[in-house]
Amino acid sequence: MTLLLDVLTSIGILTIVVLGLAIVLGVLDVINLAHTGFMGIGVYAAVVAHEHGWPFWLGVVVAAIAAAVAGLVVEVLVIRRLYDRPLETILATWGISLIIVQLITLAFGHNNRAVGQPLATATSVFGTPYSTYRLVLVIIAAVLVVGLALLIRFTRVGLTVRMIQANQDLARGLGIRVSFLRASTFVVGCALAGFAGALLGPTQAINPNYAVSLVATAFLAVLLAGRHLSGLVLGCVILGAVQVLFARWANPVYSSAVVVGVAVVLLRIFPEGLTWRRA
Amino acid sequence: MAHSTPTRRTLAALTATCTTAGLMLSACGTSSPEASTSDYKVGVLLQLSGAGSVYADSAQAGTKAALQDVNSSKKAGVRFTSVVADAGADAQSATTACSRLIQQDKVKALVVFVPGPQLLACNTLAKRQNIPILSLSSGAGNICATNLTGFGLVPNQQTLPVLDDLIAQGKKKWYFFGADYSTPKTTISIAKPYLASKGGTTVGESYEPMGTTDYSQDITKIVNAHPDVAFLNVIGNDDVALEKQWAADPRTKGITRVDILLGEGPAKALGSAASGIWSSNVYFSSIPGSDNDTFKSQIQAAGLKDSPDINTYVSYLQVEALASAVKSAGADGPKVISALGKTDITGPLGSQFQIRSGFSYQPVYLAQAQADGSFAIQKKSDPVDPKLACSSAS
Repeated sequence: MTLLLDVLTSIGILTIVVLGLAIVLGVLDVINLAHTGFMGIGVYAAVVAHEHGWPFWLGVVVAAIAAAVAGLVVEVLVIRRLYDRPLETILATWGISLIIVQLITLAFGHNNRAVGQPLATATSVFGTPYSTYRLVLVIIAAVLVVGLALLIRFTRVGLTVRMIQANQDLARGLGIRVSFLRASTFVVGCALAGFAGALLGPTQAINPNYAVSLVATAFLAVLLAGRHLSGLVLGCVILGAVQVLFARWANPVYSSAVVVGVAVVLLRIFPEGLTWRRA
Repeated sequence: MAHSTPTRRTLAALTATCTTAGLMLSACGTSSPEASTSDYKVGVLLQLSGAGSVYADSAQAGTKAALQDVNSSKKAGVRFTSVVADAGADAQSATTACSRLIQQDKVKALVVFVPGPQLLACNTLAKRQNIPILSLSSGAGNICATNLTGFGLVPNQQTLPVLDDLIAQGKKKWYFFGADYSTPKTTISIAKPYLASKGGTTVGESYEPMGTTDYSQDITKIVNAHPDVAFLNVIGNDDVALEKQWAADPRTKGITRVDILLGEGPAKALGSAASGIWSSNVYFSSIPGSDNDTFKSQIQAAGLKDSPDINTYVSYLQVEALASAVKSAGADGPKVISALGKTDITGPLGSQFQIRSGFSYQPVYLAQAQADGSFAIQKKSDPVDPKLACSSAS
């Protein structure tokens, strides 16, 4: 049971990290190398909230808002001018991530900070005591995925986003405000990054280089996703499970390399990503 | 919205890049503005960027306080000035920074706070010019050179006192977990046979690569081995993540944690998640006594907002030891190197600090983290022989 819970929480954490990244890439074709920077903005917003005595969950909301505001500024000043130029967006978002790291360092210093330890209790799952907070992360990941799926499949916003994803010129011709929706999508992606940053704060070291180690596997999951939510979930399940199971049953030192190897093999077999398509 | 022209887009990208480069370069180095040719210029090499930058503030404060002390008390017989350079996060960056300090700034000695690979890279340049290097790290006690002096503890100096104490408490079953890196591996390779020689048992041993973020499966492995003690030997930010996840896992209750690599700053940030962790080192800010109170005041006057930690203490010792060597040997590189090898000074805690064969001998304190993340001193041990991996310096 513990192994299953470890696998589930690993998948949940990866999903939470990946969602914002996947939305921005899937809809906007922007490889957002500043994703960890926005996670950093989120977690430091949660740190400030914690230091002002605010409840952790309020800090998570503040984190999402702070990252969204920062995302809006970045979109208006930089990203908006670089859509449809993948290489330039990579360069620009990389630069933005470095700027964010330096700004956080200037504001907060190099030292580790804290966001508190919410739900520091155990929950029994079929007789196995497990960290309540980690279980809550799995639930949040599931809620995010289901919510996003419903949004994309059953709402007008989702329909519009899918139209932009499929054919921007046609969408523009039909009177859809493409630039507004692009900006909104980038802001939502950044808000999700900030949200993820704050949520993972209680389990990670919080310093200006926050989440850098988390993002390598996240990018692999996004590549595997093939721009579909189902592919994203499947990618997270495969990579999260491989990481935990290899670390448990073999040498953990090689588990990261094995994760990369599995991703490469899958991309070789499914170059367009892990998506189910009707014939 | 009108489409931007390619030129404008390129310009925007270039602007972002240039701004970034400007911000990065601004952190590359600073120097004392009033240096003159008769001064003894000290190069301070530390990680101002990258993951290792978490130690920069405390180390710089120690160096600054010691420079003030050396100059105001005329301890070196010559005025010390300093130039700071960013070693970055890799050996190439360290080589560039070190080269600048030696070739351009013409420093006469180097005080360094970098991991083994960066230290080796820098020493390649320094050794050629007989420039003494005073380092916190000496790798796992296996980086030796005639011009290199290690001021921190080597693995067996730091590990054996805490092993002795916990074995005496009846904690005989140990699980060793570490980062897949030379220092943890050396530390554990020393600890295991020592534990066996004292009647203890190793119930498990495993490693994770640097940069690991999820330790749930490792914690499960450790818990399933039912140890009395989990010896956690992970480095830097990974260590903070591990300790947070350990503390949040209900299955770990009742297992004693030893983490000799956990600094005071990270422990403070961990707060209650650090509670109960055993550590050992030559300095903790909670060491009782007026000497430490004076030292802390001195460091805070140098601009450190937080309490000093091991990095502050060692950086202070480095400059004081260098001053002592320069006082007795003059500014000549080989003579200073020779004098450093016989350093015998009174440290800021009032105890004797000695350097022999390039490595330090100093008392070791055992401490246990409290609910607020501070360390309470439990015991003071006599200096431990380093038992070096390299018996003679090349």
